[in-house]
Amino acid sequence: MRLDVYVPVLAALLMGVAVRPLARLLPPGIGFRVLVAVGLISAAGWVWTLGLLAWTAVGQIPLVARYGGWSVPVLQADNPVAAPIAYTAAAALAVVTVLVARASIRRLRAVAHSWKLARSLAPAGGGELVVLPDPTVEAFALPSFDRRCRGHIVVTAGMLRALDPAERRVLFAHERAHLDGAHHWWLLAAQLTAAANPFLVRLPATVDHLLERAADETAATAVTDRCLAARALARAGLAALHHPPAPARGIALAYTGSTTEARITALLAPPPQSHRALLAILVMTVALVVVSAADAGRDLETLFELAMHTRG
Amino acid sequence: MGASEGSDTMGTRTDRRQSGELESEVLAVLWAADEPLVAAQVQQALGPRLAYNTVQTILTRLHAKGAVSREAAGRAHAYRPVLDDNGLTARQMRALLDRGTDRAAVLRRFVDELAGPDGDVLAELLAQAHRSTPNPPPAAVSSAPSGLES
Repeated sequence: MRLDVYVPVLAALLMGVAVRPLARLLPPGIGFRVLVAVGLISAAGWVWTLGLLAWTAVGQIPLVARYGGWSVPVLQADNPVAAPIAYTAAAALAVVTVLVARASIRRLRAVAHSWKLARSLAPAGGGELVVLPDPTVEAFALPSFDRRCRGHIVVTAGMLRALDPAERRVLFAHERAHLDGAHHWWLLAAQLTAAANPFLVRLPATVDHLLERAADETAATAVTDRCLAARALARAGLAALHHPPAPARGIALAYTGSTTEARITALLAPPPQSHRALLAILVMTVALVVVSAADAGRDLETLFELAMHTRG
Repeated sequence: MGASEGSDTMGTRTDRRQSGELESEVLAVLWAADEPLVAAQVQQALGPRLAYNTVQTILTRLHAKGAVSREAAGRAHAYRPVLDDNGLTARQMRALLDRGTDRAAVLRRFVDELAGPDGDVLAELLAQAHRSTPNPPPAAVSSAPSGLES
């Protein structure tokens, strides 16, 4: 308990630093899954640790101790956690709870809004493609929250005119990759993870970039031509410069590497390779964190049991 | 028996999905064109990947769904895309985009942030992509963007 309770905190900190290097090293299709999964575990470990630390202080409140039936003096004597640390952890836990609740409400409201929109689209023609008759150059995937339909590809007429038929197949394959991969849920998970663990502040933007890259790679595979995929993206980008889309971003996801230019450059390079060793190291780190967190939890339980028995 | 039924449903699902994807491609050709197109023109735009009959079938299906309207053009039909619900969908989408909804829920844009505001980098990358493609696409389609500006 004395040391291993802090392992998840250290891991959460390290994870915050490692987000971008990991995103660079892993192929995007694996990368966003790994980042979200590891981020989620590290956030859970961080919240768990805060809870354990806070509980050592909360358990000493006389009312709580009477209700729980343990001895406060025994607890104080054997408590390995200094009071300031415990109080700080309790405060941090309160802040994290508020942040996660706020983020959840905001995200779920957005999900509900697009769900309503997707449902209103469902009967119209029944096709996946929805064309907006305007000259701006825009395209996006609107996920459906309905089992029968994956979602819609919403495109402006301006975008369709900017691309040739082969390039349009890239565009459609890219948006389908978002819908098939349920990418919106992954980004949502990344956003909530970042709300729970402030060290992971870079996670959402990084995952966002990886999702675009993953969809690019899927599209390139679908049309079996990386250069064609790069061309479609460049053509759409150039056309978008002439007919800029309305500024419509709820949250600015600033990631300097997330520009369209960077995605094109990546497509013009050979396909990314997977690093087995890196994944093995990640799995071991995650295992260490989980074991430490469980061990710290057991130690705290033992401490309280001791305090209960000594009381009687 | 049960197994073969299972594979059958899988097959139809894949087929339905594939035909849905082809419908999108055909519809996109009609939207990108300035005038109604006959099936032969649509097939020509899409290239030799699709047979004429396939294109014709897709157009008929799109017409049955009300996604395209058709008019007589000689002995054939010329097709043009239809705005569903008098543009209601379009207005809703526009409102969504202008309102700025959370990206996680909806907006996964194909083209997002651009680094160079003047497009120099993009133009250079486009040239690179062309250089590394063995056979560039027909020139007819690359003139399409200029038609948009008029």
